Amino acid sequence: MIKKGRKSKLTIAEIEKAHAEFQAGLDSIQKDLRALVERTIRKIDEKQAEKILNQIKNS
Amino acid sequence: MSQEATAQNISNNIEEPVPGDVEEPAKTAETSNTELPPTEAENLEGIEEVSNEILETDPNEEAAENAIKQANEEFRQTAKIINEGETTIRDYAQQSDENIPEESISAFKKLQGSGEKLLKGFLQLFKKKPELTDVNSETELEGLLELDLDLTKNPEPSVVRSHVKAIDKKIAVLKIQQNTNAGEELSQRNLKYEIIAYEKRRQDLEDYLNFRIQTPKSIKKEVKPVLADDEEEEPTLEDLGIAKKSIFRRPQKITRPKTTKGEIDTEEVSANPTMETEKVKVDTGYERLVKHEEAAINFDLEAVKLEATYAANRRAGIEALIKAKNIDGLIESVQKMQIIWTNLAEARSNFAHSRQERVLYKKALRGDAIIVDQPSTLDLIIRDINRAKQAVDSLRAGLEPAQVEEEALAKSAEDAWWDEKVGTLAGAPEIIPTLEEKKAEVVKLEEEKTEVVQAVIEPEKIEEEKEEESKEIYEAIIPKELENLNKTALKKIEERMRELDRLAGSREMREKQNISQRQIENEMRLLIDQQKELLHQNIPDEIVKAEIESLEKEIQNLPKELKKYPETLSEETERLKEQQKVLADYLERGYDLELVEMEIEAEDIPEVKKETTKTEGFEVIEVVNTPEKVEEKDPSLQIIERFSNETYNTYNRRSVEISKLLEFDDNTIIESGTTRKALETELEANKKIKAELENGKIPADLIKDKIKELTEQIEFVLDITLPDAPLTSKEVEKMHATNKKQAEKLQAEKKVFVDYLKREKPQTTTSETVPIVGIEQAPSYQADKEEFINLKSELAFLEMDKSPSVETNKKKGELAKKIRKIDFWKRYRDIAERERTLVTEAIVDKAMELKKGGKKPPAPETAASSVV
Repeated sequence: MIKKGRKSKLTIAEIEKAHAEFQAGLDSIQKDLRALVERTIRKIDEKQAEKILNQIKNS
Repeated sequence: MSQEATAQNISNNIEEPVPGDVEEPAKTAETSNTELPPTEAENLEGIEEVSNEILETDPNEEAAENAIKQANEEFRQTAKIINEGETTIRDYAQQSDENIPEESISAFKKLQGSGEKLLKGFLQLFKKKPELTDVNSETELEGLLELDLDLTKNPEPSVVRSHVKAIDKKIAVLKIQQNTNAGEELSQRNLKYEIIAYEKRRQDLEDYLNFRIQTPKSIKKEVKPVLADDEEEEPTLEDLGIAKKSIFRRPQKITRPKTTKGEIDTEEVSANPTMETEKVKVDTGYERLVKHEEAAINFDLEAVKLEATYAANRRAGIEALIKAKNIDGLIESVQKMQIIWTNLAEARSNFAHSRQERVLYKKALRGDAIIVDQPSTLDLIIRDINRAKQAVDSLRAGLEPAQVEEEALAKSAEDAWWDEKVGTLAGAPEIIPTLEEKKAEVVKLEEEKTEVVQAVIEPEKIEEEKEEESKEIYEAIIPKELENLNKTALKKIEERMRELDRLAGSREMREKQNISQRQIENEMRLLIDQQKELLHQNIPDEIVKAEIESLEKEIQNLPKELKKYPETLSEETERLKEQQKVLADYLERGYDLELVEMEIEAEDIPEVKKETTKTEGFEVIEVVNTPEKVEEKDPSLQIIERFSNETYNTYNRRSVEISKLLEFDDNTIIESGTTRKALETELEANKKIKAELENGKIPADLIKDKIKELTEQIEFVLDITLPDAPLTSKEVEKMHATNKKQAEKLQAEKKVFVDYLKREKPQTTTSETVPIVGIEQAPSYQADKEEFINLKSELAFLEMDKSPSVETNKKKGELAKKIRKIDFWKRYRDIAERERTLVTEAIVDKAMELKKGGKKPPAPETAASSVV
């Protein structure tokens, strides 16, 4: 006879701890995202500026 | 990227907790996870499912459910933010009429991925542990084991081995669980039986493997097809019926079959009795290899054709790569060829006919590249490797394929770049440059050397150096020495070449002398290079070094030879001592030596004037011409006689020396500072003088010389400067008196000679000699005494080991000659080294210059002048 015998090994404290870590991870991702957006905008700006500069030079 | 898409991504990666099915009890956490649903609704559903499962069993279900729900929501929010960020950037870029930088796009993707990983990791924490079944017996559990391996179907050992590994892992995991779940009776019991079941299964598999390895042919027969014409297919281990390692590491257990058509070797059959009865013909691949190798070694026509085809293909491949300027392809082909070479050499070493051949191939593998057949496949491969390498160099240098062939010859095979790029494969041989390459290299280096030497070394400087070091050596010895050494070296090289030719033609002789074809080839190359150098009047360093060594050895041996000399010396000393004794006896018999000496010393030289003017109207000639006067020991006559004897002895000794010298060869005579002709002339002259003296005549020149000598002596005595120390008048007087007395004595002696010369002149108008009247030809007391005195001095000389005998001079001459030679060759070598250093430095400078780009900046003066 085979009977189900499974159960979660996590306590509330462990769950909370794991959740907190997960949230911290997400925060870090959002931080990176902000940095990435800023960096990308700056790059686009630089390219744009370069383009304008070239136009001025050529004109 | 949309939120949905992100969720889809997650669903592909995240495993869900096990549903826990009764029908699949052995499905563990490794295989039972389900995926997250792709849509938001589905995803939520999935999460709920997980939560429901948790609710059933977990007392903290609420906390877990909330955490999962919250986490999922937070992840979605984050994914949304990332998406928004990306959209914002896209809009911004669009407005600016720009594209988003590539690195930014990939960074956005990475961020999304990080979020997904985070969620996946979080959800993993809620996965269920594997189900444990409540079983009552080991047998019941056995059927549940996840091992569908049917051993009756003869699974491959490799598959069985992987199962064994999996079981080991499983047992380890179960044992850990056993320890952590201590106290829970059910799970403990289940774990125990599970472990036992796996261990049993493992044992079965081990038994099967052992059986397979021990009785390979019976299994092989059933399952393996005959691989008849598939030349390319590598025989598997099972084909061979034994582990590969045992073939390659213990080749002695497998002997070459008599035929090449797959018949089983008798030795192998006897080792496996079952095979003898079955006579199963199986192409094990081994036979194919043997066929190929055997034929290649035995120069089988077909095999040679095969080799030629392979070689032709190889070369055609290289040609094609060169034409296509495919450098990478060439590099790759070289690497492949090196691997082929290694494999082939290894195979040959394993399947060689004899132990000797095996040893040879093993040596070849170690890099001593000794090949039995010639031209060997291995050699051909090496040649092709070199060819491809050179082609790579040439192409890199910007040459067109057509020029590559030509240029390849002028390239050195040893290239630092190559070593760095490809390196030396384990077991692969060092690439040995061909003769053409070597020659081309020499020519190239010579050109470089000439160029750079001309540019760098000022000729005057060299001249100065030469003069400084040894002008004499350069002028006098070098050309001759160079010529001699050059000739000798060339002769030796030719002889050795002939010998090598003979060796190359006879394997027996090679074996006897323990020399390989490759060694012969290498030596021959070296000799050809040396010969070339010698023909260009350059003496290679090796030869110079060898010459120095040989000379040094000779010098080391010289002392041994010289050791013999003291023997001769002592012999001579003995002889002289003997003579001395005879003379002493002689003197003792008639005279008291000391007394005589004292008498001589005490004897005042009578005034010649008195004697000559004694008689009226008569010349002194009367006196000297009278033999009685000699008996009366006429002092003048005695002086003349003594002089005559002394002179005779001197000339006699010199004549003996000359005679001995003339016994040597011209070179030695020249080394001693004279010539044969001069010696012969001198000897002739000496003979004449001796003959004259024997006839009682003294050559006028000798008398003149004696008079001159005496004059000088008188002058010297009279001119003696008084010492600085204060002397009393008496002392001064005494000194003057002594000097005067001595001068008078010398003057008297001089007068004898002058008178003698004057007197004899009218009689010897036609002759240059002056007769000595009344000199006895037999050994007189005076002569003996003189000789004894001479001998005494000579003995003293010999005892001091400074004998000027011909033998000594010869030895010393030889020694000096050899030392001079060594000095010369050392100097020659030093100069060559210096030149080489200068050349190298110049090349480095040149390279640095090129590296810096453009020409060297002008010298300060030049720069200044150009500004002006």
